[in-house]
Amino acid sequence: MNPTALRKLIVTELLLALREPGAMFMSVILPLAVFLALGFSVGVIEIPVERDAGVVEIFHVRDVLLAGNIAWVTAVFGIVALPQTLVEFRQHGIFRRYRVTPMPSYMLIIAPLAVGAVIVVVSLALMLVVGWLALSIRFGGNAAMVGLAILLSYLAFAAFGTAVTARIRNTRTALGLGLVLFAPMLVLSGAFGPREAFPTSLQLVGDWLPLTHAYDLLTFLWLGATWETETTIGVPVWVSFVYLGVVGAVCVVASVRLFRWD
Amino acid sequence: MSREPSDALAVQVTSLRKVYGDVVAVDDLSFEVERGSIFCIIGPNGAGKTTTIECLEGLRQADSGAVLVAGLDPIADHTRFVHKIGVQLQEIGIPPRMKVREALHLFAALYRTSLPLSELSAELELDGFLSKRYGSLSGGQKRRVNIVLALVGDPEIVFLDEPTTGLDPESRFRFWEYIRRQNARGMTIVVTTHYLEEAREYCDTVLFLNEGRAVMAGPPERLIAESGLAARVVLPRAALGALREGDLAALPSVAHVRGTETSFYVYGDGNVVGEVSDFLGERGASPGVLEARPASLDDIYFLAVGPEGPEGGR
Repeated sequence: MNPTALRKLIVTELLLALREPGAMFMSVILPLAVFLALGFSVGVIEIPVERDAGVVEIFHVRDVLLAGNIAWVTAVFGIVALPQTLVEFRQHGIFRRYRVTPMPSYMLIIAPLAVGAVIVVVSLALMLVVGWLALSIRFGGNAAMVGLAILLSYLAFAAFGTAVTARIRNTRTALGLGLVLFAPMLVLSGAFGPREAFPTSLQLVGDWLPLTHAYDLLTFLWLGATWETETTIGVPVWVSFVYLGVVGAVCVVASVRLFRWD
Repeated sequence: MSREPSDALAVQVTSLRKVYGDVVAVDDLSFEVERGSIFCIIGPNGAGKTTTIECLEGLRQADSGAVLVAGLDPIADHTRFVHKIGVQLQEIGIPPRMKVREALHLFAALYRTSLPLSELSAELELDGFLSKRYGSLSGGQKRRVNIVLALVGDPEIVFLDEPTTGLDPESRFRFWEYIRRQNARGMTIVVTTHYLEEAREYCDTVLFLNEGRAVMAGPPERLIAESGLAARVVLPRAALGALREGDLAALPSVAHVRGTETSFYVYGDGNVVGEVSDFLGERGASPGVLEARPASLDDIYFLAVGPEGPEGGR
């Protein structure tokens, strides 16, 4: 496999992704719109963050909206958009067609992952720029830790989506399943409203959903949480890291075992 | 069971067998394709053409038997194998939102060498829709795109599964002209078709498959000569009163008679036209009603695989 071919594959797949308005809307337009809508309404609510030696730093809801949005953008990509590509390849015999070319099969997984990474970064960059210009948002955390958390949740959701659709041969079925899995996760994660408002049983379900962990992880890290800080789930940040890693690893193993090329 | 790889042979198939559940798709099939030849697999729907070609492409694993393509095992030697072959599948194989030009450039980039895209695109008439999305093309246009993608890497051996189905006569002609040119440069062509006249005109060797088995194989002209069939005569029933198949079959020159609702199809050696004509004269029917023509590959085919006739493949 030569580098030119891989580059060409990624560029071509990026073009294909841009021609899928639904996925672009979900991954770029919707998060930006939600960010602005909430930013200009509830964005002014104060969030006091305790620092060492009892110092309290005041952030606002608008500062942290973006981090939560990026959590569910990675979930949309992994659970809805990526399976659309992979299932379409399976449904239309595209994996089979590539298998009789010199392209190694793993490139067909790497390319859409690279495309998804570009889309997530663009979505993040857009919210950052717009948020900085329109809402004067502030960042109180460690950029490397936030980046690591985004990467981890991106990979965990990609593995999850790939595993659950590993044998589906119809893009509509995959889309339906993706939305059925994603929508409750989104609501129960607290991304669209505080989890405290839910009945205890739903809060407990939410505690086990990977999106809740990704959401808490990113919002807390954005405001400067450390490994030991306890999140709304009631566990330290590092536990959510490990939990997402375990979900990702289990799903990778399941994908490898279940995945069908045709 | 396997054989020594041979440099003179592009494909060596020995006792190939492939079963799907209870259905035996290919059974005890053995054949060889010479390097630099045009080899055609013909057979009715369900004869095992696509299964056979997909075993050659490494897309299906045979249940037993051996396949060597360019001296390589298509599955065990996959990495080297894919550089030597080009493939056109019957199914879609291209993302519907990908533009034709993008597909050509992407596939060209996958191979170490490639045929000039502008020439391929012009010869196989893709120029009119290079900017269109694959999903919006007609069946014939999709077929042509897939043929070009099979050829673009300038393979040693190209496998084409019903390449001319759905093409208009002009496109079929241009396709075969281009294939012959590539063949003259040394490319081996393995093709399935259900157009027998194409097989006779363009292919060096034909293999007739029926129910997963080889019925006969060889150069088309030789098969016709060896069949002993020289001519086919068609008689309209309406002109012949109470004539029965048995009456015609009893004539010494007649090899086979097929009766349909409207006509008798009479196959036989060089004397068949004269004999049938005399026979009609004796019965008071006008010999003018008979239509005769030299035997063709179609006739051999019908006699070999039965009256269903060639349709799509699997």
